[in-house]
Amino acid sequence: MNMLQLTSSFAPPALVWMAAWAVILPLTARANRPDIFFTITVDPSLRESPEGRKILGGFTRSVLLFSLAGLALALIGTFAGANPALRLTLMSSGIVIQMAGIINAFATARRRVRPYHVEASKQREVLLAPRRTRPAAGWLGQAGPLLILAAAAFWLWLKWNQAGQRTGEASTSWKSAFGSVIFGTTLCFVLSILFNSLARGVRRIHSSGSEAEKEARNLRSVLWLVLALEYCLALMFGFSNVMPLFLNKILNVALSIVCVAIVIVPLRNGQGGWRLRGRSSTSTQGQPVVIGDRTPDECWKIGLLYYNPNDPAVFVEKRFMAGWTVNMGNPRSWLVLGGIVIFIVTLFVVAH
Amino acid sequence: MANDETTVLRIDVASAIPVYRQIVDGLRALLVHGAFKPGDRLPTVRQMAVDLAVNHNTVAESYRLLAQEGWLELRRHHGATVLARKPLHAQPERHDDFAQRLRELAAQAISDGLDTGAVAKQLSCLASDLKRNAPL
Repeated sequence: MNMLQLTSSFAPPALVWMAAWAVILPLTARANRPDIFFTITVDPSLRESPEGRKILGGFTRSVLLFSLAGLALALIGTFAGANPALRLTLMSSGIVIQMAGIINAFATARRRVRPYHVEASKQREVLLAPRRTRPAAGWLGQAGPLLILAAAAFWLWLKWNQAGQRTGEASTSWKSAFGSVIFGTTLCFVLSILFNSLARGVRRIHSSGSEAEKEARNLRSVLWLVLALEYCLALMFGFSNVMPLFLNKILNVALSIVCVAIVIVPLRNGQGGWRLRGRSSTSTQGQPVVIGDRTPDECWKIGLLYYNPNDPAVFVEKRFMAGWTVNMGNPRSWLVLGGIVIFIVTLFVVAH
Repeated sequence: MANDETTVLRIDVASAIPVYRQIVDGLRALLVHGAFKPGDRLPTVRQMAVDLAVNHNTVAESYRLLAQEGWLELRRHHGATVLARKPLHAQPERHDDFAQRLRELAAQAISDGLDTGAVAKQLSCLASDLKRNAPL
């Protein structure tokens, strides 16, 4: 593949990626908990106040402006004739401009929010009941993707033996025959670890009432999506080589829907499910309580990285963008991250 | 009431009272009231520590103290199980000790600015609750 072909194949996903950032980031800023605004703990009323709207509007405008500039440059690069170096330079510059603009918009918004910082409540609560040990979707539902891949591996093994070191699928190498299944198994295994870690290990910010119910519903919907992703990947890497073309297409569509849903659903639900229907918690005086996410502001580095050696949680809610991130101050987090990286790198090395 | 979904323990990490003491006191109040049946399980040390965002050792220490008092049985990886605790017969000096602590507590409250009438009213409410076997 020459440079021209490389830039041509790189262009469409890069453009989609840039457009997605432009749309998702302003939505993300609105999806965080009401008392977390641009990663800083604030009074929940700030977001709807004129000043809050101004900050949010400024961030949105800045992101859109730089994204449009970056996209324009990348588009020019895409149609910049047959000079691959010029194409690559223009497209890379487009991406850099967008990223720099986003970083600047985020830093500016944070700077403007900082004067409104308030201390979160120091009250903490815990539900005095053990968590369910049975995984969501049951053990069988959880094992499903790995069973699918095992069945695919067994089928390939049978075909291999029948053809005497040949699968009949045009290759004699075991890597070619089983590579896809091994890769799918790795992905599903990593997703399965993630699934169980989230199901059992995330902190409940609220332990009772409607807020707790919303949190549980949000977590459940995310877990179902992760499981759906596992199933799609298992079918794709297990049987895509032997499936009829139309089934492959259906699978691709299903995978795309799940991937889009993984982005859309948490944004729609809001962080911790606060946007889901139900009453919001209020204090006895009727004023909203600043609960935050039970993590101290000072432990968030640039609002994105959480480092707190005194917090036993491995996964904590992100303060910007929906979902969870790891506590870098907890050695278990490093174990989880290191394990995943080593697993993937080893697989990559073996595959090559 | 076995592990009712509404049985929640609340602490204040900004309080001058150590967190482990708040956990012990809060759990003991629920246990004395009978919020749990023998055999009920409490959250694991890890789960409680994560939800309260406090150190594991703090929760482990609280459970250990309650286990020493005979309220809980601790098993590795299984959390804490509530035990059927036989009522103890307090020695006479425990009565004196209790009365002394109650006086000190009332004095502390008055010293902190509560008026005598309010303290008396709270003590009276507590006495009524105890007679009715209501939650403390």
